[in-house]
Amino acid sequence: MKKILIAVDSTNDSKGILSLFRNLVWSPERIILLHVEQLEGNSMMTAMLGDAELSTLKDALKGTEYKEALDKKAEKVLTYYKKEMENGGLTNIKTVIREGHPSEEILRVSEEEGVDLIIVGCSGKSRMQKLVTGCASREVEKNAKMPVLISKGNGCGKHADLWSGREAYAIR
Amino acid sequence: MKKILVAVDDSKGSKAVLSVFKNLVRPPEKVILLHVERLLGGSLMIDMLGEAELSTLRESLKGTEYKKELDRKAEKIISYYKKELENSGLISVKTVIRDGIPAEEILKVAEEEGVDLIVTGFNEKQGIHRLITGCVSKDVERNANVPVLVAKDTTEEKAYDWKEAVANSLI
Repeated sequence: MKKILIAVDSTNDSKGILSLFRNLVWSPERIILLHVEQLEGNSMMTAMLGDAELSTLKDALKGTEYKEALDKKAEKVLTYYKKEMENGGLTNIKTVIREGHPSEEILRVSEEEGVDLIIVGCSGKSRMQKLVTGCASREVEKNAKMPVLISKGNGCGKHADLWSGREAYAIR
Repeated sequence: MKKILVAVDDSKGSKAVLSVFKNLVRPPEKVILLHVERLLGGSLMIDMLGEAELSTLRESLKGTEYKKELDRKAEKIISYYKKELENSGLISVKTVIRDGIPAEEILKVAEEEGVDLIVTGFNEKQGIHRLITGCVSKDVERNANVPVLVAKDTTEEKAYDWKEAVANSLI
């Protein structure tokens, strides 16, 4: 096992991913930690933008506070995971930040780096949320050339159905 | 690592499961090898049946040629994968054959056995075909409590490109 790409979004399911290495998969020689900044937040919009529009959007956002906040979040998530993994005995970690469509960027990086396995978290989104915001892991699973491991963190699997998902969202 | 559930069928995508065992996962203590017989073949019907209807269907199929054929096929698939897995050094392989809706049976067995990981093959079904017959790995992925590894055949040639085929036929 040479290289693994791990796509991380928030700090929620780090435990799931770390226990994978302890128990399930061989520790790789190299880990690529990837975070993709969603420029339009959790909206469906970015999924509908073409490359040209996306680059206009990138230009427009350059230097704004919004972008800075995104950068800060990305930085935070990546350093958190890097530290957790190094504590878990994994070394040789490369961090990558991209912006755009999560699933597309994940696939692109996986091909550039020639990884042997992609690990994506399960967001635990409800069906309704998924319908609206899309689900990166689904797209990645469908289009990747290499095996894909979907890790299940807290609150994943046995998805809350539409309404209880909404309630949970409202309470949060 | 304790237990892994491996779901296989006769598709090419399933074979990728073997390379996953060779390269990616740590050898587990126990492997549950599962094949689910689709009672109605690759049709959409089966996914729409409830428990009651499904058990009626099972009853009516019992002892028929069709069911025997399914059993034979299942036996063949399971024994092929069992041999392959044992050749790669796994000793404790338990085989399970179920009938019904594949995704549901996979999840059911995963819970009964308390597995730590589910490994499925990825079927190269595309577009309409995927829409009609459904995609087992998708349903499993969405509803499983444990991590799911979707194996891919990395050596696979390109999927059949009908656009190209049409273009070629026009020349």
